[in-house]
Amino acid sequence: MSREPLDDHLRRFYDAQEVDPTVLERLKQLAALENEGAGPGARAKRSPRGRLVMAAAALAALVLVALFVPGLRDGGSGGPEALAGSILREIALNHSKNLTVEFAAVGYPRLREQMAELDFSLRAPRRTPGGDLHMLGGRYCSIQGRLAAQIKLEDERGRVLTLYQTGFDDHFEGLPELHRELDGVEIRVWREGDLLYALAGSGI
Amino acid sequence: MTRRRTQPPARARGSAPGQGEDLDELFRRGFRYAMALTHEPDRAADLLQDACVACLSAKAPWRAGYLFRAIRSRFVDQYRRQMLAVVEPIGTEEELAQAGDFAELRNAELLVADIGSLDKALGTLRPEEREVLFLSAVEGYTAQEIAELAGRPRGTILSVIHRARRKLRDLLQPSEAEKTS
Repeated sequence: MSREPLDDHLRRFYDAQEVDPTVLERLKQLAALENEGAGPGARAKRSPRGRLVMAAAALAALVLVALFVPGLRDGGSGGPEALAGSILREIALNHSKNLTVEFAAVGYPRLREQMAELDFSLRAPRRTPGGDLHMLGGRYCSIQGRLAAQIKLEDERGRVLTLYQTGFDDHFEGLPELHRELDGVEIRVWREGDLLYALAGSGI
Repeated sequence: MTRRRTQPPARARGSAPGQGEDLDELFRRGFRYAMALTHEPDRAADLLQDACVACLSAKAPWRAGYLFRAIRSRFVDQYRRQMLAVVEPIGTEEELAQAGDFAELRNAELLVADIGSLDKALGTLRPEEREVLFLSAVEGYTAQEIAELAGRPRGTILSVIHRARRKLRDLLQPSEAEKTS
């Protein structure tokens, strides 16, 4: 091994750092999506926050497409059970990422104000696991490509649960109520009126 | 091996897609910058994605300057504590200039290092130290350009570069005892 200036070593080291090809492809798709889908008129109608949310949702959708193409394909044509499997994988992965909240809130009124870009009204589910649950806050996410809210809850034992809410539309028709465990994550999925709920955690 | 440092930085920092720099190369450079900050591939990929979303929402052109600022901003938000270490300038700019040109110093530091040992050594540096080394050695930024990106005085940047290089040299250079053994 020959002696070289430090900068040469640094260049060689960083040149060897390659971004994962799937990440690279997603980013290029995202850039292409933005270029094609958002004309000046469309942009003008959106608030800066709205554009950020839409971009985040588009990125999340691309991530999910990249990760779950077979699952989504099944969900689209394989019936309710395949759709259920796709949703469960999506929820399990999202919960396991343990993302921090973007909007700190201890109750729904405050969170509703902060997450104003949702196209449905956030509300507490009637059915929750027993015991006191303390809200930590929420962030935007997507379920099956639909804009959704991800709400972090903490139970009296300090365990963090993740509650998901999104609007219930035709895509979810026929979806059975679910209570399964996937990748070590216990997940419940159910409908209440015009909302689809999912809860992930342990002991739920 | 491509010696980016010899290219004019403004040119290296490119133009919009379709006008020179392609997206592949831009995102690769963004990832490497994120790697310099985080020194963890997964975090670097997350940081790059967050920065891209921010660039899109801000309608920023696909240029390295914008992307690097977005990456840095997000990193500082996420790892503020790691970036808060105070660095005292080692001297005035005049004193630094008298101490010698960094380009000459670069060539004087002939080291033997493999990727693994460099990875380990870089991992012991603070994010800010890796950042200035990356920007100066790999991207070809001047101290003034790094100062503008980081929002810090040029003298402080020169100090950080100096100390980071010294740390790396001490970590990679065998001691006199090791040389003679």
